[in-house]
Formats: sequence, structure tokens, C-alpha cells
Amino acid sequence: MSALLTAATLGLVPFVALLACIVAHVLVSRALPELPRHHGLVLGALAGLAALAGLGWGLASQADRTDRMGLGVAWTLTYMSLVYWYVFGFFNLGESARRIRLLVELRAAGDRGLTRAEILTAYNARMIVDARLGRLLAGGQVVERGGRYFIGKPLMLCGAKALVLLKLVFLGAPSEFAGRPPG
Amino acid sequence: MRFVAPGLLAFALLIVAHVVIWRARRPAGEYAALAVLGAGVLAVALATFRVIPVPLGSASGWLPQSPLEHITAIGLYAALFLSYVTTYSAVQADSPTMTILLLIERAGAVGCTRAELRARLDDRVLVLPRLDDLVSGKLVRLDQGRYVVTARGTLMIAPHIRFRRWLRMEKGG
Repeated sequence: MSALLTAATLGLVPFVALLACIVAHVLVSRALPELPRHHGLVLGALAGLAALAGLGWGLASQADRTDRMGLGVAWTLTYMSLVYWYVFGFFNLGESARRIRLLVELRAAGDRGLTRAEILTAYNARMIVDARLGRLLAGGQVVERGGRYFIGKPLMLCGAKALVLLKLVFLGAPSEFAGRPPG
Repeated sequence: MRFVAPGLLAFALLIVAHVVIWRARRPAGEYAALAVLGAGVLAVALATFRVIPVPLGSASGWLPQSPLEHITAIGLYAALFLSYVTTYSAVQADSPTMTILLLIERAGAVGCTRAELRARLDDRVLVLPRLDDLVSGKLVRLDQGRYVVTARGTLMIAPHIRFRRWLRMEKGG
């Protein structure tokens, strides 16, 4: 029983580190609202990493000496995966996911709800394109010359191409609209 | 090795099963199906890890044996699963940001204007399919021409609204 309890405690270490990352991210965002959002996320992730190292240092002595390296690698991989989920699967959903934004607008309307026209007044493709283009320009992924847009830093474009490849693998098509008209 | 390899192996098995099943027949409720698949693959992997040390003999040194090794492997698998589902959501629905980048790249040396991007990415491409997703996922119901959030939709959106308030950030999208 004691071995199981020790194992359960040690198994929680990366999850506690994620909690530290989230708390640090919230505190940094509230204390420094002018800080670019990705800087806040990086600070949160580093705080979580520090918590992971601290907890690991303190608790890993309960594991067999020969296992400590493997345990450290497993914790680090687990923590990095959890941070990836937090950034892209939770925080970024509230930041840029269209379904979340639509739900926010509809929830604000209460039981009366909204017609399609009312929804498109509150949130529409024009706003989405402008917001995304603004972020891409700010991040240098896109550059503007004479009112026309060109690719800047190519890293995110590589990500977009990788996603197309994954779409081909999973869906058999390069886009959700392939083979059928949108809407 | 015993802390990392089992989780990675189970995760690789999940990816293979996901691709094979989805290419054969994509389920309607994709995320629920993916959660069931994730749990199923983990159960199969853990059962296999208990059985195969006998035939493998001394070559089974990388398999989990102690409670700590099992719990660490499950934790790693769970974390990889969460990040995998996150990535898959970007595969399942076209991201506007990624589409903008691909359109600009396709335009080549002449580039793209904002008007050209807006013409290609209208409400029928960016908003209405996601509204349909909400209805088909029962997060929103269509009531006499009006879209109303369901209890399930409220349950889903509440943590995001509360969390953005904690962060003191405005509405996203």
C-alpha cells in the first residue's frame, strides 16, 4: 500500500508542475497586462519547469537510484505534453477558437438566443481575417509591402503545411472543404 | 527505459489505430470516439505489458513492473493523448490562420491583398461550418430560427469565460 501511495504521489509531480505553470501564467497576466501574451505563457511554463525540478529534486530520492534518470525524462516529457495541451488545447481555445467565441456570444444572449444574422453582426469572417492577419503581421510571419501581403518568417507556414499533410493522412483530403462547397 | 518506453509504445499504438479506423470509417462524434479509443488502447497496452514478459524472457527489461513504473507510464500516455487530441482538432477543422498563410504562399511573388483574403475566407467558410458543429454537437440548439446555447454548451463554455476573467483578457476569436 505504501509503495502504491508513493508511486501515486510521484506520478502526480508533472501534473502539480502544470498547476504551478497555470497559476504563474494567471498571476503574470494579471500583474503585467501589457506583456505580450506569448511572453506570459513562456514565463508560466518556466515557472512550472522550476516546480518540476524542485519537486523532482525533493521526491525522486524515494525512487531507486538507478531509476532517477528515467523518471526525470518521463516527468519532463509528461510536463511538456501537458504544457502543450494547456497552451494550444485550453488557453488558445479561448484566444482564437471560433466555436468558443460563438458560444460566448450565444451565452451572452441568454435564452432568447440569436438569429444567424445577429450572430454574423457580432462575429464574422471579416473580423476573423483582420484579427488573424494582425497577429501574423505582429509576429512577422507575414509582411506587408505596398498593400500586399507576403510570407515573412516561414516557421508557421511549415506548421500549416504539416497540418495539410496530417489532413491527408487522417481525412484523405487537404482541407475540410475538399470535394464539397463550404457552408 | 521502463518509465518512458511503455507510454511511448502505447501512444504509437493509439496513432496507428486512429489512422486505420478513421480512414476506414470516420465516426460522427469524433472526440467522444477518440476518447474511447484512447482508453481502449491504454487498457490493451497495460494488459499486454502484463502478459508478454513471459515469452520475451530477458528481453522484457523495458516493460513496467513496479507501481511507480505503471503510474508514470499512464501519466505520460495521458499527457501525450491530451496533446494529440489538441493537434487533431487543428487537423479536423481548417484553421483560418493556417489557411491565410497557405493562400499568401500560393499567391507567390505577387502576394495577396486583404480584400482577396476576405473574398476567399467569407462567413460560409469561417463561421457557418463552426456554427453547424455546435448544433450537431448539441452545444447549441436551433429554435425557430434562433440559436440558443444548451446546458451542455453552457457547461463547456463556463470554464473558458471564468479563466479569461482570471487572466483579465477580453473575448477571443
